[in-house]
Amino acid sequence: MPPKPKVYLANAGTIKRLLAFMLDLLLLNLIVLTPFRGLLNSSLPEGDFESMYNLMLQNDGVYSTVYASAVAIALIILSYFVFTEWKLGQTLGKMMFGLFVVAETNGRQEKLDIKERVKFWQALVRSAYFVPIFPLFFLIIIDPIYMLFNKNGQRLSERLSRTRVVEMYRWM
Amino acid sequence: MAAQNNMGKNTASGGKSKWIFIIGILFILWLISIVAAGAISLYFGGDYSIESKMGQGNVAVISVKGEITGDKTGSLLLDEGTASTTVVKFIKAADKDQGVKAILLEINSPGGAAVASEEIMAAFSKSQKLKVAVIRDVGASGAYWIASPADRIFASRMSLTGSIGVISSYLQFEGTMRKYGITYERLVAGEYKDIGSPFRNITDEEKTMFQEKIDKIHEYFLKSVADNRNMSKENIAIVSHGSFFLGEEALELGLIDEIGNKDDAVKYIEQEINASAKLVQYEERRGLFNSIIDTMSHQSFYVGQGIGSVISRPGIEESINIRT
Repeated sequence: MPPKPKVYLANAGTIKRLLAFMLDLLLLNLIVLTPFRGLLNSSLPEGDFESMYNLMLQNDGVYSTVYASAVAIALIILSYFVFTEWKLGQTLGKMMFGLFVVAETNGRQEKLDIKERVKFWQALVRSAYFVPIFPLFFLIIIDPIYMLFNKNGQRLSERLSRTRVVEMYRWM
Repeated sequence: MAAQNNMGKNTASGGKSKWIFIIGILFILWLISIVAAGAISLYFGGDYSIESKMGQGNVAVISVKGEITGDKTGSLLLDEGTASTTVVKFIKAADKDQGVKAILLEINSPGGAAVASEEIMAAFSKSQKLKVAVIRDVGASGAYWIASPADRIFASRMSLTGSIGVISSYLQFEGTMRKYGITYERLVAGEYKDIGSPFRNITDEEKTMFQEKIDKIHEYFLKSVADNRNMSKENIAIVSHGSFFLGEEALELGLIDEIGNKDDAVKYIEQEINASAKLVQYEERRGLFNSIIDTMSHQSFYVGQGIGSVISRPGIEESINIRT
């Protein structure tokens, strides 16, 4: 009987995490944003941000369209991250880079187990920056800053959800 | 809890099921996105492209292409002409914009509905801005009427213009119906209610009545053009026959002011406003979704109209179009 490979989990590298996230966003841009692009193009002027912003302020219809679209897009993107990480422990981007989302075993930071699947609430909390409710969207700024100072490279929402993004190493 | 998980499995089936799940969820989210975008478009959507033109340039360019109609038509693939409601909306928006110094009408149309043409002509006439019209291949009949209040009309040597007349013809099927043994049961309250019905021959009296109406419209059309262009009686007499003219002939008759194209019109505007022209094209941007919805609603309407026409036949107002 061949010896069982030993598995070692380590915190995922920041660059890999960033690339995986960008890949996910690229995919979502193609799939989720495309239907909204036509809608927003027909509602908003071609031009600079200022003219778009002024039009939004002056016109309730434009404001409602943009606001409703932003909420819908945010909720759809949130669903993607929550369901894939909850059910698979990986998004497509993470799959490509060999990254996994795991729950901290019994809430203990020092112990990681690849079999520790994240619960629904944990998947929701760790992607809370997509929830279009004040002040949750501020996490998109706070999260990466917190990451710089956390010894495990966790974002604030990951710390709160007791989850980690890990890479798996095997050796005989 | 932990045992249920298949994370970390490197088996082919585990990898395959992950891919199926990912593709499945992306497909579902894509469908949700389409539905959500459609729902938002229905509840809040609209065309705000006119408001967005405000302050973008000093010359508003408005195109009148194809047949002039009263309302937008809902074809997905075909450009079915220009709706007067749209052009009037553009003219009013340009008029409201303090930054716009001139309105340039770019015309390539054989005319269309009399009322629709008059609506555009009236809105253009009322505008306080410098009004310039450029006739490209064709600017005839109702399309010329639209151009007539312009301060300056440009046309190419080969442009077709004029055709100041009114047409209101229709097909009659009485002979064909008789041939096939189909009879028309005339049940009307009001002697002339079914005037213009394609199912019976028109009487001499009715023909006279029709001609009187058409003559009146023609008279009004001609007077309006003559007033707008300050034309001499001799020239009015020439154009009143309804014939069309080439650019050179139109210049001699006073129907246009100059032989030229859009560039010449822009140069003229720059001289008049004493500034370099920054053109802003007023046009409606219609998303695919709006086009589909419009098409569906129009098709439904036509189906309903077809069913309705079996139950109650239309009167003159539905069966005859008066076109300029």
